[in-house]
Amino acid sequence: MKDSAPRIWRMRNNLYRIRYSKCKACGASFYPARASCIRCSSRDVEVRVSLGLGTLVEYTVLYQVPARMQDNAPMVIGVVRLDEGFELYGVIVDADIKDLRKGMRVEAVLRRLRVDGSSGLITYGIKFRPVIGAAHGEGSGRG
Amino acid sequence: MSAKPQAGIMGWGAYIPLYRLRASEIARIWGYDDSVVKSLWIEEKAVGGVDEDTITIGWEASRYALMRAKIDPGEVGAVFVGTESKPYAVKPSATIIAEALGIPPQKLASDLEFACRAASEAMRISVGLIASGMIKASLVIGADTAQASPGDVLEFTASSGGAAFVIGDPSNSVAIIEDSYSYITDTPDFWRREGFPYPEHGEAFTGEPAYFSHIMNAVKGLLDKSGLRISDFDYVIFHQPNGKFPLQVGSKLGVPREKILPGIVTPYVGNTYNGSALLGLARVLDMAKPGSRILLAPFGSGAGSDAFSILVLDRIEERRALAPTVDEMIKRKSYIPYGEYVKVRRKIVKA
Repeated sequence: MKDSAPRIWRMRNNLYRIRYSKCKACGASFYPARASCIRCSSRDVEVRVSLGLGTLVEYTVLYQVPARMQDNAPMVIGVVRLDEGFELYGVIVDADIKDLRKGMRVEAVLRRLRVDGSSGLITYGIKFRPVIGAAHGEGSGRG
Repeated sequence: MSAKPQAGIMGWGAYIPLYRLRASEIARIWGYDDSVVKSLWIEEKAVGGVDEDTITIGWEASRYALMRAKIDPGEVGAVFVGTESKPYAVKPSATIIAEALGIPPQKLASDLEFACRAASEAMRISVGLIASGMIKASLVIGADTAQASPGDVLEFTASSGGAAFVIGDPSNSVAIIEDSYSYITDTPDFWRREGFPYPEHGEAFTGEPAYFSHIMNAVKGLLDKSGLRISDFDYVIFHQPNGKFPLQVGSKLGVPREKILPGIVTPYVGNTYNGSALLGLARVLDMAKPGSRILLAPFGSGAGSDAFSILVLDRIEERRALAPTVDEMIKRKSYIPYGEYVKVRRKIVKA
């Protein structure tokens, strides 16, 4: 398979950062970003970039993965609630499966999403891993 | 000082991958005697995960450096990546990292290669760009997923990791780059040919004519130029291909061990090549008190060394807690066996 260069290029803003919408009318935050509010339908919304800190809400472990992702097996897929107030699915990395627990603090990191053989493009994008260090984001400078 | 300080370190960040491979495990697989491990002073090395490379490592360190620098990415006018493990032979790592960090297109960006000292040269280039007024701030990244042929003695130390620094206005910096000096010759101590996955090295030739000669000449040059003495420095950080070399070159230069040990990270995370001495600098910035003076001397095969005099300022205290420390990353670890290491570092060739 050849990954499409134009497609990766078009998607880069959404691959590299978590862009969400914040409704100025009702205060709702939602992902992915869109022009009107999913709660009150107001079009007075602005696109923001998440700081990437959040909490693991739920997760599952995939042992059977697509052939081109075999090196990544087993893969952990989780629902993460970002501190800005919305949820999204993501791959959870750098966590031992036995240490995973709902409510653990995670942060968005840039990782390889796909590698197109030995000569094609490498697609980078956001995954999540447990936060590093004592400062867990809430109320700290890292927020 | 030979000149007025014209640039400083506004923020610093480090990144060490989670996974570790014990040196004793490598010795067991390849039949080395334990004395080899002890002679290098290497306990374990960091191994990048299957989805990590120089770009992802550089991005992590840069994000932390920008947090501590407390500047908008739009103020960064240059992004330099010092590495010898580019994910693409042709296609810059710097553009991907910059785009992912939200640094706008109006900038310089390139990958530099000079074995382990390319990022160090990027620091000197950045000082020049800032002093000339061409840019306000520069992001300097030293990151590698260091290659070593399986079974080569180099495999004990070649590891993954990196550090990043925002160089900019000295009036908004945590440390001033007071002076610097470079010493470079054509010395074939370590090389990797185009298209070949693993480097070759000149065994003992990597020592005296390469590592020791270049670092000592760079440090002596800096001292002559600046009028400073070894006793003026509180911390001394050398390139650290293993744990022993920095102590040996320090001994030759008359540096007490206690000034070198705080900046030594290689025995615990391995040699991160372009991140090697710079991770040491990050660890020292994690702990140095205002008023401390740091001597930094990275080295790169081929060969060259740069020496920097860095003076720590009061502002450093308020910036430390804004990102994880090097020690927090050293302690965060998960051991893997040799088999998993060769899988995640892509040393297995599939059909």
